[in-house]
Amino acid sequence: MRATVFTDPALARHAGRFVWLSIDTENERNAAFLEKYPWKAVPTFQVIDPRTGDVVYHWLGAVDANALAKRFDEAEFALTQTRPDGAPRLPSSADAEVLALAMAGKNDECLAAASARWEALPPGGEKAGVAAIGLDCALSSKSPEATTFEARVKDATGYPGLLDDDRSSLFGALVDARDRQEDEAGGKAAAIAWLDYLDAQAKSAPGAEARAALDGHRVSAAIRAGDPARMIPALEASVRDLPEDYNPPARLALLLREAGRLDEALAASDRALAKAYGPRKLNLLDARATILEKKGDPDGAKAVLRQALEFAQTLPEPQRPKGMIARIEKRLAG
Amino acid sequence: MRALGLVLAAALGFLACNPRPAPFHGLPFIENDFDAAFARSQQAAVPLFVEVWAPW
Repeated sequence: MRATVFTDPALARHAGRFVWLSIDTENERNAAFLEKYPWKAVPTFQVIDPRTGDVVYHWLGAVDANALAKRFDEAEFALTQTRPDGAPRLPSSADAEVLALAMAGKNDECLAAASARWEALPPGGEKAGVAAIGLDCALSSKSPEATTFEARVKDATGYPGLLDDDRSSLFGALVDARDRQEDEAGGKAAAIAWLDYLDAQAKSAPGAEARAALDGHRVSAAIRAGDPARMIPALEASVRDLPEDYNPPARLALLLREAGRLDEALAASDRALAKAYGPRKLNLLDARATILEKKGDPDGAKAVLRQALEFAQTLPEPQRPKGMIARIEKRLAG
Repeated sequence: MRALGLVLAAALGFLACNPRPAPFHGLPFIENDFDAAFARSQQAAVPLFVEVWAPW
């Protein structure tokens, strides 16, 4: 949304309705905020009442400019009509409703809501979101409806007007669906279709930042397709175009590692670590340890893992990634 | 000629009083400073819209 939606001229007339704050979860300046206003996934959007400091409205996930404008209206309504229990209101959209159920682990209810709401929605972001979340819930509850929702997600990849990120995520959901049903060949075929979409997106993206916004998807799709080399040129382009960003070299290191080009992977890892900050640095060090292991240097790998744990201790408590720390401790013990 | 001059002057005056709107470069987000943003929100009596994101 940063590269496209928030710069949409259609939003100019809304600029005075709110004070706008952007919080980078990796930046240690935000530790106190993140402790007071916890988050589960990114992007998360919150509207805070200036009189109380309470969150009155929130949601998870990107939306397009039209949906965003509607949510501005709903947020202002939430400010005047706070819920009796004080909990923040959610958007009225169907995708927000099913996502809330999915996030709460209520897979059967999520699937029922997705089934009930999908039919009446016009093709677009909301319908696509309901299909994708419904598919995830159907898979989680091992429902035969997964087949129906998988077909709906496949159909949604062709909906007009979707955000690139959303469309790409639909392709990713199709890979996930095959993998969770242990269909190795189907998962690989779906990953290749995802790569084809990502190649097309790279050509049509309005700029380097918009193209690179899907680089994470490029890495996942290329590795799952068993063809990491296919996306190396795209990541090399991002390294050139976004020289201050640690993500392109970090992602390039993963592709080079999987392609067996280990010395180049280490060099890309060096470039990424020189710019990295915050909790994500642990992921980069963990990936670097794997490169060293593949090079036959287990002592070097362990030294990097120990370095990662030392770095973790320097992070503010709300920003310590407990799952990653546990993973690194397990690797060191193993 | 004098009439034309007056018309032109009036038109130029109109333009001066009605400048083109500034180009929109995106919503004016304050970066990573909750205290400043919340204080501004209280001062302006408008809600605070927060985007929580990660650079990865």
